[in-house]
Order: sequence, then structure tokens, then C-alpha cells
Amino acid sequence: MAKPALQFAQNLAHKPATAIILIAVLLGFTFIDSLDLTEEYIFGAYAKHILFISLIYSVVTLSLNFVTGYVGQTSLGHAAFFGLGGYVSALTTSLLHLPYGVAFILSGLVAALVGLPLGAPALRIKGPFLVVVTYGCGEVFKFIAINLDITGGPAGLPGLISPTLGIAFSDIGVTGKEAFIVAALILALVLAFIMYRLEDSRVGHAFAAIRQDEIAAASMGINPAYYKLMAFVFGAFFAGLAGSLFAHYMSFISPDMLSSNESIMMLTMVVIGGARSIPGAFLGAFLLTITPEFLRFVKDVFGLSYDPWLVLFGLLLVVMMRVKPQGLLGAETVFRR
Amino acid sequence: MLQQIINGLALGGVYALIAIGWTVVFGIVGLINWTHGEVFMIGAFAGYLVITTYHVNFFVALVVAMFFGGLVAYLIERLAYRPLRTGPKLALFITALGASIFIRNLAAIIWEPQSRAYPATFEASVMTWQLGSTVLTINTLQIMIFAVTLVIMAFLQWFITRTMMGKAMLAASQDLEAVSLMGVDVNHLITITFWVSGMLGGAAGVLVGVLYAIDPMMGAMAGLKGWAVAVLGGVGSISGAMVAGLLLGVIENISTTFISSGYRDAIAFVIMIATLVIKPTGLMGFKFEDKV
Amino acid sequence: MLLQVEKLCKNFGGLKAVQNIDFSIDSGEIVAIIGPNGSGKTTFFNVISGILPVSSGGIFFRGQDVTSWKAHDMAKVGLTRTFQNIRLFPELSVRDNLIIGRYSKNSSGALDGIFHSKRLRLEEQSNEQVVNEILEFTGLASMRNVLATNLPYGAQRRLEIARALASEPSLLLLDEPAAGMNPKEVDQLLALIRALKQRGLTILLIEHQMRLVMGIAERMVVFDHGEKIAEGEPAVIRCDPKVIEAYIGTEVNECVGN
Ligand SMILES: Nc1ncnc2c1ncn2[C@@H]1O[C@H](COP(=O)(O)OP(=O)(O)OP(=O)(O)O)[C@@H](O)[C@H]1O
Ligand SMILES: [Mg+2]
Repeated sequence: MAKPALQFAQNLAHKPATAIILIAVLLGFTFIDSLDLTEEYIFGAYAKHILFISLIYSVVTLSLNFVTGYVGQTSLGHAAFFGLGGYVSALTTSLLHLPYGVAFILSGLVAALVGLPLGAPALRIKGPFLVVVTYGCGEVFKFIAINLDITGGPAGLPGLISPTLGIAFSDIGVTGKEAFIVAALILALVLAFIMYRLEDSRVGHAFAAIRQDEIAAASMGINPAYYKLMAFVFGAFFAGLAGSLFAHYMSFISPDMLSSNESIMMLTMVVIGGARSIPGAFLGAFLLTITPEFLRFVKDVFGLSYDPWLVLFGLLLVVMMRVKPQGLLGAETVFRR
Repeated sequence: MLQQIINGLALGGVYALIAIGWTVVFGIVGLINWTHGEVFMIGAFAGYLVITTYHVNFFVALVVAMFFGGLVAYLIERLAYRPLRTGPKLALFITALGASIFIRNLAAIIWEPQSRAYPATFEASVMTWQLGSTVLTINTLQIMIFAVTLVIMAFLQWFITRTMMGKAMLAASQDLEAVSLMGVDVNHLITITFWVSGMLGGAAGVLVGVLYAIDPMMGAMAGLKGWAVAVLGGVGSISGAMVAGLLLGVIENISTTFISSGYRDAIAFVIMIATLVIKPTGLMGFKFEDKV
Repeated sequence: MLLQVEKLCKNFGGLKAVQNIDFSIDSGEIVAIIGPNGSGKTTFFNVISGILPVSSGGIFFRGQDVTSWKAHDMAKVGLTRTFQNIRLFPELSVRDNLIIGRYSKNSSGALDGIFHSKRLRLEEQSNEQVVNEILEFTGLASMRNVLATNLPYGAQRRLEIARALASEPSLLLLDEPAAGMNPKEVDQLLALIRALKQRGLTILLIEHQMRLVMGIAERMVVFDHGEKIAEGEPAVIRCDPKVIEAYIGTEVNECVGN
């Protein structure tokens, strides 16, 4: 019963028509209240909030797929780039008073630039050791953000501007969240498209080769160091962009954004959705964003004195690795042409 | 300065205990046992609960904590890791991550998240010495913790160098396959390894408990510092972990005075990253290399 | 000279795996390296193909000093190899393994991929052509879409060679290509190597059993304990007392029988 259903879902997920329908539905929900059809909002601010967060994490999950999916390096420090993008964007707009468009691009570029030296250990350090190095780097970032004055210390930076990209984000839609949803959706789709194209290009082939046998790849002329750095830099760039959007959406930023818990969540989104699967990244991000919200609702309804989410999450990971270690939509890549 | 070194030694000894727990498991199973911090936390709570409910003395608490630490480590291996042992490494690691999140948050539900302190189990007194112009103060508690750590380590050293099982463990940490070819029961060996690792973690939990407050989340940072120490000492090397643990305890204490206390917890990570980048084999480790 | 090696040494700690090897191979030659287990043959390959750094000595490819080059640099100038203990890309199909073999002949980058540029499309076309041709040539065409990990052993060995050929090498290094093959597979392999020789490819191959290479190698080099103990025509080599001693009788009878 469960198997055919999953297979059906997997097939569906990989059809372009599915993607188009899903995008149309998302946009429909986002703007249905702008039509002023009903007294109350059909799809209110809270639902839109969840949608935006899910989309942002989709971008982050896709970006982490470069490192963890494509070149097969487990990273537990990805939140560092996400947070770094946020801080860069916050400081560019509030301290330098530059327009949001500049801050947005800059947040990606700075994250990518920092990704370079952080990716460098990945060239020398393998597997389990790299996990803790990336984790350690993320923690060090958090300590820096907590201890510096310019980043606002443990409290972070409040009062970030609402972005304007051509038009002011606040001018679109009824709740002020619509423009963020559209921006996050565009970012996610652009990234998904790039990844789709890269997978079956010379770069994607090199990624696959390095992941499966680094020494054999090198003997075929592929420079593993170059591609590992490329994966880190690409991943960091898009995580930085996502971080910028997220920070301005929240209108404040704190060191929590850099925390290791965030990094762990990002990695599990990749793994649960299925490494290297583009629909899987979206699925992982949506599932792990919506489920805790749903459980919080359950908690309130049943009057539980504790939040059941994290316990279940831990259990879910253990069970998932037992029954489907490749993730819900994961499969090994086959070059398309 | 000398004062800082003395303060650092007691904590450093505990770090070393945690690190050895990491190292033995990594050496033999090749897994970063992310749940080790949780085993440490369970030890701390087991000790706390027997002391507060049965009013036993410190040494009984220590033994109880070691038992529960070992038991939990064994159960984790049996239920979560063993079915995946031959599977992909990433799946094993995510399992460890999941088990750690599960235990930590389950503990927070059962025991409530707030922190608490062990009731005083001894009359701790403070000794002072005049050394030239500086005054040194030493807490008897610190001395006791350090002594207990040394005893446990001596016992471990005896176990590894003198008993058959210990020798097999040492050999397995360099080449598990060869040991299994020699007819050692690998499952049995791994079970023992997790028991040993868990007992060390549990003991460390109690030792930290008498020094600082405990809470269900305490395993996260302590576990990671233990791993940092294991890396610094050279993963797989027990004597390396001992030296590196003491070193980290002392360095942390010195840096708190000379740099800033805000960065105290970051020091371990910086040291770990630097070690891995500059000298991946650590102080005394051996090399894990790809065979071509 | 295509490849020239001077006083090459490689140590692992105290172990001298390769000692003071002088060696060269010219375009169009087929040379075999033989020697007992652990005599440093594979290590010699690892060093000249750039996978392991040299301890001392020099390596020259077409007169250019390539001593400190890495494996991926060596592949780019046309030195490609196979591995004794098969290193395919297990989760890729036979065809995709060969596509990766084409890597060093192509030059498109990330932007070409994203925009699916003309350059990428041209490369794809020519890759497809070369890959098909090699699949036919090596007899793997019928297994085109099989994952490498699911191939029978002999086919895996052939795929290793096919993948190396996909890079259109100017020097092909084969490390015990016949290891573990049954007699029929060995015959197919020898036919393949002869066909490659016909095409003028330069081949340096390691072989454990002397008689396998008697028919195809023009020259033989014998390793023992990391040193080159003999070099010359196969007929001469097989009766060299030093070689016989190194092999402690395994092939002596054959020589005496001659
Ligand atoms: N990466 C390495 N690290 C340490 N020692 C090595 C390494 N690679 C090879 N050796 C050692 O170097 C020596 C030569 O090994 P090598 O594999 O080159 O021999 P070989 O001639 O290819 O043997 P065979 O016929 O069994 O393939 C052996 O003693 C081997 O154990
Ligand atoms: Mg060999």
C-alpha cells in the first residue's frame, strides 16, 4: 500500500506539469485575498508566514545539496552562510544605507567569499572529520556574532528595512508578506533550474564522479579540489541570498540564525527529502517546517506541557534511516541525455 | 597563571574522560558517536537522582552513573546503530544525530529543562598556599575530581593493556577487519566498546555534576568538546586524549583570563579546526588513509 | 621519448616501495612491467600517474617536467590509467562512466551547463559518437545502460579500459588488467590489447604472470623489492637468472622447457 503510493508520488514529483500546477496553486493562495472576495482572509497572515519560511528553507536545502548532495560532503555548518547573508544585508542597509538590491547581491557574494576558505579544509579533511569542522566553523561564527558590537551582540540587530526591488515589498498584497513569498519562490525556482541544468553538464558529471570515487575522478582529469570549492561557494552564495531575504522578512536578525540547530535542521531537510533530488529538497523543507507548526497546534489542543516536536523529530530521523536511508524522493543520478 | 593551570586540570581531566569515550568508539566503529554527549548527560542525571532520592555518597553515585551510562550507550548501539552498520556512513551519522536529539529532548520532557545543582556531598574546603608573591587556592573538590579521573584512567589503561578483551579492542581500533579474521566476535567486541565508552561518559557526567549545575541540554557542548579533545589528541589514541584533555582544560582557563570569557567555548572549536587542517593526525594519532 | 622517469623513489615511512627506477617508453611501444607481489609495480603507477607524490627523482612527459603534477593534470596531457582493484563509478551506467572518461577532452564550465550553450551541445554530440564507438570496440555496447556495479567482473575490467580509452590517451597504463579473469576473458582481453596496439596506442601494462604478456609486449621491465632488476626483450628476460631467482621457481620450468 505505502510503496505504490510513494512511487506514484515520486513519479508525480518529477513531472514538469506537477511543478507548474503547484506553482500556480501557491500563487493562487498567495493572492486570493487580494481579490477581496470574502470578509475574512481565506489564507491569512499565519499561513503565509509558514509558506514563506518553507520556501526560504527550500532555497537553503537546495543550496546545501551542492555540498552534501553533489560532492557528498556532509556539512553541519550551513547555517553560518545563511546567517552571514542576513548580517551582511542588515549591515549594508542600516549602516551603509545602500539600497536593498545591493545588499541582497552583496550578502550572496560575501557568503560565497567566506565559503572559499571554509571549503578549503574540505580538500584535506575527509568524511566524519569534515562534519565536525563545518560544525565548529558554524559555532565559531556564532560566538563572533555574539561577542561583536557591530552585530549587536546576543540580541542581534533590530529594525531592518523592508526591501524595495523596483517596487516596495510592502506595497504588494494585503498582509505585506506576499512580495516575500514571490521573491523566495523566484529564488527557489531559479536555483532549482540551475541545478537541473548543471546535473547533466560537464560540471554535474564531475560532481558525480568525485562523489563516487575521488581517486578515479582525478585520474580522469577532474580536479576534486576545484569542484569541492565550487560546490561550497555555490552553496554559500545561495544560502547567503536566502539569509538576506529571511532577515529582512523578520525585520531583525540574531545569532540564533547561525546556530548549530539550524544547520542540523538544514542537513536533515536534505536527507529526508533525498540528497540530490530537487523535488526532494522542496519536500524536505516543507515537511520539516510545517510539521513542528502542526505539532504546536496539537500541543495546544491537548494541553500538553511540553512540545512533542523535537522528540518526534529525533525518532523520525532514526526510523527514516532505517527504512529509507536515501530519503523520500532520493535516487542516484543518471545522466539524462 | 599557575592558578589558572590548576583550575584547568580538574576540568581537563573530565574532558579527557569524555574524549576517550569518543575515541574508542570512533577507533573501532568509525562513527562519530553524536550521542556520547547524551550518555554523559544521563550519567549526570543518574548520579543526581540517586543522591537526591537515596542520599547515597558520591562514590556510589559514580558507580550507578557509570552503569547507566554504559547501559544507555549499549542500548543505542544495539537498537539504532547495529542494523545500519554496513549501510552508508551518512545514514549512520544521521541516525546518531537523531538519537541524540531524541534522548536530549525526552530527558527535557521527563526531567524538566531547568538546571539544578547536586546537593553538597562532601565538605569541600579551600586550601591556600603562599608561593612567593602569589597566592594559590585549591578546592579539595578539584583535587578529588582529578584523583578520581586518574584512577579511572589507570583502570582503563590496565583493561586495555592487560586483558584479552582490552587488547582486542586496541587491535580492532587499528584494523577491525583483521581482528575479525582472527576469530574475535565483532559484535561482542563492539558491545564491550560501547559499554566502556558509556561508563566513561557516565563517570564524566557525575564529575561535572558536582562542579557545575546540570540540565538536559548539557550534553551538546560537553560532547563536542570531548570530540575536539579526541581530535587534538589524535583520534583513536587514548593517551593522546588524556594529554589533550588536560591541555584544553588549561588553555580554556588561561584564555578566559587573557582574551575574553565570551570566547571560552569557542576555543575548543578553533583548536579542533586548526588541528585538523594543520596536522590531521593530532598529537599522537595514526593516519587514516585511502588505499589506492 | 613519450615518458621518461629518472631515479624515481617512493618511500612509505621506512618502506622503500620504489627505488631508483630509470625508465622510458616511446610512442607506439607496448611495455610490460612484471614482478612478484609487493615489488612496487602499482606504487610506480601511482607515482607516475600523479596520485602519489614522488619522494625523489624526476618524471618527464614529452620532455616536460611533470614530477610534481597531480593526477588530474596528468590525465589532461594524455596519461590515463586503470586500477588493479577496479575503481569504476559504481552508481553510474556504463555509458555514463565513459562520459566521465571524456571529461579531459571537453572544456565547458558551469555557465555552459546553465545556459546549455552551443559549446556544450557540440561536446555532447562528439562525446556520444566517441562513446558509442568505444562501446562497440570493447564489446560493451549491449550493456550500455547497466550500472557499473551490476556488471559481471570481466566486464567491469573491460569498462575500466573503455573509460580510459574515452579520454583518447597518448599513454595508457593498465594495472593487471587480466587479474581474476577466466581464460576466455583473458583471450578477449589480449585481443583487445592487440587491437589497441594496431591503432598505434602506447601502452604500459603491469602483469603478474609472465606468460600472459609474452606475446604482446615488445619489452619487459622486471621489478623486485622496488628495484628494476632486469629489462629487455621477453625472450631474453624470461631466462635471466636474476628474474628466475626473483620468481623463485614459479616460471623456471617454462624457461628450462624452452
Ligand atoms: N599507500 C600505501 N601506504 C603504505 N604502504 C604502501 C602503500 N601502497 C603500497 N604500499 C606498500 O608498498 C609495497 C609495494 O606495493 P605495490 O602495491 O606497489 O606492489 P605491487 O608490485 O603492485 O604488488 P601486487 O603484485 O600485489 O599488486 C608493498 O609492501 C605495499 O604494502
Ligand atoms: Mg599492484
